[in-house]
Amino acid sequence: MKYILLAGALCAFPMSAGAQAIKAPEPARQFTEAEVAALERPDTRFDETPEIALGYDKYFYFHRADTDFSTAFHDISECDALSSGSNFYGGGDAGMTSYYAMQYGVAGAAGGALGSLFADAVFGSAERRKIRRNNVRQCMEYKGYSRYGMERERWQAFHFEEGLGRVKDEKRTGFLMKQALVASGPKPETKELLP
Amino acid sequence: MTRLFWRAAALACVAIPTMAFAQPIGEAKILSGQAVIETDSGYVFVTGPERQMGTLLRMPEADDVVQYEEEWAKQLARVQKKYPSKLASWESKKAAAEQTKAKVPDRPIEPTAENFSIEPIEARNAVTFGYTSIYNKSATPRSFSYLTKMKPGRYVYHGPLWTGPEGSMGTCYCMGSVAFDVKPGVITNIGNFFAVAASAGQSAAAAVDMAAVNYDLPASLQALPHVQAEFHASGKFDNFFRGTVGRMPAVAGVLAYDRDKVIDAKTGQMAAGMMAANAPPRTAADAVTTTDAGKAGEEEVTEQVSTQP
Repeated sequence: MKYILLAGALCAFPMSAGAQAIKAPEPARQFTEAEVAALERPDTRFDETPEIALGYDKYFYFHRADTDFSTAFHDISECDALSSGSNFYGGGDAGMTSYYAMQYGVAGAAGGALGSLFADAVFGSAERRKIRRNNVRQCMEYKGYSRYGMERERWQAFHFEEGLGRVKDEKRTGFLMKQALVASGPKPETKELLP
Repeated sequence: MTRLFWRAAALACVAIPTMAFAQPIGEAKILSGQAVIETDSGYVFVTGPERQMGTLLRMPEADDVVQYEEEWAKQLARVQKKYPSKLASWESKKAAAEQTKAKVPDRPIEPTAENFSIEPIEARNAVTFGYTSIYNKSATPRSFSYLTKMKPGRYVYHGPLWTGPEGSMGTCYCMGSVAFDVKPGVITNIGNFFAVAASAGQSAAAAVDMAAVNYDLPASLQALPHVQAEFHASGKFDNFFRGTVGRMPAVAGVLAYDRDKVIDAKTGQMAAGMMAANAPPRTAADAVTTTDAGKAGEEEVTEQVSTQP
């Protein structure tokens, strides 16, 4: 009964105004075979050395069997958004919220995006980069992806690090697409790391 | 960086009045009668063997959404009014930069209904409890407890995270958590559930050891109206405070996971989330249970309050 009442009340609720203030989440992007085929596959082959292996906490990539490119891209994008504090599940745009807060001094925009600035001022960019790495790793573990180590230069060809600034969207999406290509591609031949 | 810091500090000062009302209560105030259980307020009791902190997000209700939309529209009008002068200022700076061959600053973005956002509605009703603001503590058994007064409603446990105008720190259970009702006029007893959950770790297979959960109340609260929290699975939400990404470990009979899908163990279906864009706000109809509980609590509280000095 409670839920019938709830449903009735929701129908009466004026959602039209909310459609702008509370924005709908972006739908999951579906890529065509041609779009995927047009992507340049990153080179993940390298000869492991003890020195390279020491960097696997920083330089790693993901793979999951039986996963198509669109799913992998959606998963990686979700983990990227959670890790950087961006909006993913709808409601608004964290980047624009910060923009208007800083450029126009909008009081209502001073929320979570602002709060982290103080911690950032204290701990610095390196700590923020480390947190982001760990966040992506944790999120992808939950999604069932395996983690593999990589040599630094090859890793840099399709990954980015993010500290206090924000990598621009176009560059970001390009990197995430390449990561999705690897994540949904052939199973790596190298040793799987701990999550 | 320094300029950014002070600009953020100034904005945070402006933001303080928008933070959700919450008030920690110490045992001395209950014992002395300075604090009583008010019939229109909610109270959450949390305990554990160590000091802890946590943030709760009150799920937006219909009137919150109306207020949010009004504020969004007001702020949008404000920035749109400012835009022409911002643009003129930029054009002037651009001309000067071109003359001196300096870097041309970015053109200001024109505010529109499509691109304008204010802080997420879900984040503005955050209530943080802990770390030093204890209700009481004991050495044997070792415990630190917290009693926080807050607005009644349904709350999602954001996770063991501190947030305030000075910044945020801790873990966001963004990838799955629990929700519970905070009813008016009674203490909602979480017991040591949050502490036990935190001790389970963050691995994909982690689960809350429910045998270790207890709902013992200090003697000073036992005679006051109280209910044990009833937990419900709650879906994903954005990392509003840029915490460490995590999730509430699985809770037998309440919360389960299929990889990263959040499952309501009571129904076997995907758990509903708290994000207003995905789930319409709770309404007055949904508050019926709360009001009824409040009436029941009110009677009990009146009886208890009569003994207070």
